[in-house]
Amino acid sequence: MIVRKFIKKFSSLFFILVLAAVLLFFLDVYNVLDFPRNIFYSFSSPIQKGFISAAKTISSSFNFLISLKNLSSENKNLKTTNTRLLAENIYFRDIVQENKILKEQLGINSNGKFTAVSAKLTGRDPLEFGSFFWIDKGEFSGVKINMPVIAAGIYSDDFNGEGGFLLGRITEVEQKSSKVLALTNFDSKVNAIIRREKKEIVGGIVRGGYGFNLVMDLVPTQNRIFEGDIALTSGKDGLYPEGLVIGSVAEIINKDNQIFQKVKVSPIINMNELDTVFIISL
Amino acid sequence: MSILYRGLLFFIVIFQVTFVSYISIFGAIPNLALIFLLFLVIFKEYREALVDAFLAGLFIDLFSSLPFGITIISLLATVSAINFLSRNIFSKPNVIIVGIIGALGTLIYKFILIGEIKFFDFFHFSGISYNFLPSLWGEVFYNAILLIGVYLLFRKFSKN
Repeated sequence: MIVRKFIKKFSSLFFILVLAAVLLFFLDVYNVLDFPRNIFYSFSSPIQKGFISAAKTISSSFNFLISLKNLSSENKNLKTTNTRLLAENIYFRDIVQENKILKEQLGINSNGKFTAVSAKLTGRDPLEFGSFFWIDKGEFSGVKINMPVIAAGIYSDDFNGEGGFLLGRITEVEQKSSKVLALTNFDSKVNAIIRREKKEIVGGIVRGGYGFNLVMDLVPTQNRIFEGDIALTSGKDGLYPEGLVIGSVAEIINKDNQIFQKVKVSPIINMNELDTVFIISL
Repeated sequence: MSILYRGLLFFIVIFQVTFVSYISIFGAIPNLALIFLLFLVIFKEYREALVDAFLAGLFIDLFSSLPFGITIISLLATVSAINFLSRNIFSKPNVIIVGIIGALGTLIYKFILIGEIKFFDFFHFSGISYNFLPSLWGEVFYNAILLIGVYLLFRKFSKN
């Protein structure tokens, strides 16, 4: 009785609004909403940029306060890492020089492997925050669907048409903004290889896990993988160029008597510190 | 007053897609638009809350990757369900009741959203999968606590 009375009293407006939502769904299917959507994004984009910048400032100040506690051990670890990186750097410089000479000999142009457009992050998915993000470049800047998006900023030294840190790919393009399917999205799949000291250990598909994690399933147990091994794009899927860094191996789930193991890959880029990205075209 | 609420809703959703995503705890982030709507249902007029639910859903759908209208329907259904519960089952609001409404509202909203996604997946329409379940309890807790906070603030200011 109460339910019936309640429905009678309040149902009309509810059903009108539900019908309006269904109508909007169909209008969107037939792309009728593209124009108002573009106007909305043009209006909201500057506000979004302001909020993002404020969020990053607060987030980094907060992280700094938390990190003070671990400063001593972190400093020790950084010194060790620094020494190792210095040694590696000398080794890689030799390789770069050698590579340059070999390319010259083979007549390959090392520049212009892909071109890039820089963009600013303007928002993240309101429903699941590691899933999608928005950037401020779109159709007007030549952005197209499926273009890979990689990290820039502090990593710009790595970005010379070689390397870079893969973040995802474009799935929707508006006039002045685009939506990026993050690597960590459940629907994201990247053909990858796991590499250690320049040697390929195993190839497979890295897909999005929950939150900010990635997973490589069905890796044969005979392939010995260790924490810290690097996952790179293989280039075999035709979506992403070869050699982009996906992340480092964070955990190997290897149960007894099983022929496959699961590898958890952790992205190297901290999305909370990300400000500028590059959209690349092959 | 309602224009003020609607303007506020727009900023809340923008705040949600930008600022709030940086303050996750154990992978969960609060749903500010939902908290705002639940507050309206408890303390303001239901019809006004319905229109605001429509607008909030519209703004969220503009930023989400789900088929357009899904969030609108989830929010409308949540607002209606909570309105029914708060008018017929719960007594006068207090901290515990507001907390329960925050938790229940989040659960109803998420389960309707999951149901809709399953429906669209069945017809191969969305092509997008979300996994809400791992962060569900965190969000339920987060929203309930924040709604209690908003309620206490409201009570303090309405006394003054």
